[in-house]
Amino acid sequence: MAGRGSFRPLNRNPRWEDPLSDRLTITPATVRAYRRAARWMAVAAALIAAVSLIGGTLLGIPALHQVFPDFSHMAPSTALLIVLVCSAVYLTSGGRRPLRIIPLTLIAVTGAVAVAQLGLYFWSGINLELYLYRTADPAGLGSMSPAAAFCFCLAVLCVALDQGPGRRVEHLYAGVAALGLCIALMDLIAYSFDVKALYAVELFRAMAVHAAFCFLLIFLALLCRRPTWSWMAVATGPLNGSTAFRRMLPAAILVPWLFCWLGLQASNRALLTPNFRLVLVAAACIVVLLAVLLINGRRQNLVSALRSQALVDLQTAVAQRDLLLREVYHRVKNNLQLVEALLLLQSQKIESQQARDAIHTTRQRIHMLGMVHQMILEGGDYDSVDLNTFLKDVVHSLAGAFGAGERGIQVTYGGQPTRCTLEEAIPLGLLTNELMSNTFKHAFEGRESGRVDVTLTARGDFLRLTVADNGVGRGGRPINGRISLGSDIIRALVAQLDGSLKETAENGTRIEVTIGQPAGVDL
Amino acid sequence: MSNDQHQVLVVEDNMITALYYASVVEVMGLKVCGKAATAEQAIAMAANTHPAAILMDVRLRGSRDGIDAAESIREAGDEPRIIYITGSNEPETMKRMNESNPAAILVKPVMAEQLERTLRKVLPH
Repeated sequence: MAGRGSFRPLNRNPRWEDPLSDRLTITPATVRAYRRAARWMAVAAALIAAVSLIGGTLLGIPALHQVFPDFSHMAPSTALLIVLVCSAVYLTSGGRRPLRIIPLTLIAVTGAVAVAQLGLYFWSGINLELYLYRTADPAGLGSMSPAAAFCFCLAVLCVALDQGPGRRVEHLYAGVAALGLCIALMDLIAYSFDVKALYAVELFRAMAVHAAFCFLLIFLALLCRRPTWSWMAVATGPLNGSTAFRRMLPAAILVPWLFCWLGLQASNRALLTPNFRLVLVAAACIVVLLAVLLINGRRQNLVSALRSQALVDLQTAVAQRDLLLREVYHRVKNNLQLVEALLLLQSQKIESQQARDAIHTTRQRIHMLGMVHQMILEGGDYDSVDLNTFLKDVVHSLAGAFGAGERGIQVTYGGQPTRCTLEEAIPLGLLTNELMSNTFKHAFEGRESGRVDVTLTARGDFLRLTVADNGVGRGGRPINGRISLGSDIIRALVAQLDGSLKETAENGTRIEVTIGQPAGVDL
Repeated sequence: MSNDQHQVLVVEDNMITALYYASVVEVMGLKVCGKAATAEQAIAMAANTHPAAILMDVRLRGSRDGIDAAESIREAGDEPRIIYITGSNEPETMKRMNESNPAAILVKPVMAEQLERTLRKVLPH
C-alpha cells in the first residue's frame, strides 16, 4: 500500500522544512493577488523614476528632480537603472511569461553598472556619475549614492537567486530583500527626521528621497512576488498568527517612528533635558507595545475560547451521533427479534413437519443476524465486532438450539481474539450457522454420541474457520453439489468472503473455510 | 396457588413479542396467567395470580422498569422465579438485575428453544 493517500509534495530539503508549513495553507488565489500587487509596485516605481528622469533631468523641472530644494537629486543613472530593475521584476512576477533572456539581460546590465559604480567609488575615489553627468551641485548630491548602488546589487541578487524553489534559496532571497527594504526604510525615516544628519553619512550621501521610495517599492515587490517563501509565508498566510501579524503591522511601523519623531521635536525645541527625553520615549514605547500585546492577547484568547467551544460542540455532536446509531442498531435488533417471533407463531399453525423445519432453519438464520447486532451494541464500537466472542456465542446458541446436550453431542469452540467489520461478521456467522446446522442434522444419524469442534484461526488478514465432527460423514451430500438451499447459501457466503472451502472426510467430516493468505509460519 | 400446571406471567410491552413468549410457554404445556405491558399491570397481575415464574422484559412503557416491578412483587410477599429478558446488557442495568436475585437473565434476541430451556431449568419439576 505504499504511497496511498499521500499527496504531500516531495520534500527536497527536509532540514529546512518547518514543522508547521505555512506555505501549504496559502491559497493559489492569494499568491496571484500578491504577485499582481508586486507587478503594480514595480510599475509605480518605474513611473516615478521615469518622471524624474524625463521631467527633472531632461526638461529641468527641479521639483521632479529633487522634490524639495535642499534634497538630493535622483541621478539619471539611478533613474535608468530603477526602470531596468522594475522591468525585470515586472516580467518575472507572473502574468505572461517572456523569454528568460530579457529580464536576465536587464539585471545583468543593472548589476554591471551598480558594481562598477561601487568599485570606482570605493577603490578609485572616482564618481563615474560626475564624469558622465555634471551637475552644478558642488556637494556632489546629484550623483548615484553608494547606498543606491548597493540596493541595485541586492535587487539584482534577488532576481538572480529566483531560480526555482528550495529552502536555502528561499531564505536567502527573503533575507536579501529584507536587507534592501531596511536600507530604503532607513533613508526614508532619515528624510522625515533630519536630512542633514543623513548627508553626514557617506554611504547614504546623495540618495534621493524618491529613489529611496522607489527602492522601498522594488523590495516590497520582490517580497510580494514570492508570498510563500521563507518568512513571507508567515506574513501572508491565512492562519491566526499571520492575521495577527498583519493587524499589528501598522502599529509596529508607526509607533516607533512617531515616538522618535516626537523626541526629535522635543529636542529641536529644547524641551526637557536630552536624557529625560530619551527616558520618555523609551517609557512611551514600552507602554504602547504592552497595550498592543494585550489587545493581541485578548484576541488570541477569544480565538482559543471559540476553538474550545467548537471542540465541545463537536464532541457533543459525535456523542449524539453515537447515541442515534446505537438506537438504530437497537431497533434493527428488535425488529429481527420480531421477525423471529412472527415466524415461530406462524410455524405453530403449520401441520407439515417439513414446513416447520424450513421455518426453524430460517428462524435460526435471523436469530444469528440479531446476535451480530447485539454484539455491536455490546462492543460500543460500530465499525468492528469482536469476532471470537461472537462466534463463541453463535456456536453455543446453535448447540442449545439443536439440543446437543440431550443428544450426547459434545460441542467445543476454540478461537483467537480478533476483530472484523460487520460486513465480514455477518457472512462468517451465517456460515458457522449453516455448517453446524448441517452437522447436527446429518452427521450423527443413528449415533448415540459425537463431538463437534469449531475453531477460528486469525493472523493479520488471514482467517480460517473450521467445523469438524466425528460423525457418519456426508455420504451422498457433497457441499459443492446442488442439494439444498443450505449449500447454495454456503457457496454464496464463501464467495462473499472471497474465500475458499475445503472438505475432507476422515473420521467424520472436516470443513475449512479460508480467507486470505497465511502469513509466515504454517497454520 | 398453582395447580398441576405452573403459571407464567409474561411482562413485555411489545405485544407481538409477548404473544411469542406466551406461545412458547403454552407449547411447553405451561399456563400463561397474564400478559402485562407496564410495571403497574405486572404488579397487579402477580398479586392476583401468584405465578411460579415471570418472563420480565426490562425496558417497559411508563416510568418504572421490569426490575422495579420485580422488586415490588417480592415486597408484596410473592416469590416467583424471575427471568429477565433485556435488550441491552449495560453494566448499570446488569448490576441492578443481579442485585434483585433473578433466576436467569436472557439477552435479546431470544430464541424460542433458549427460552424453553431456561424455563425448564428454572421451574421446579
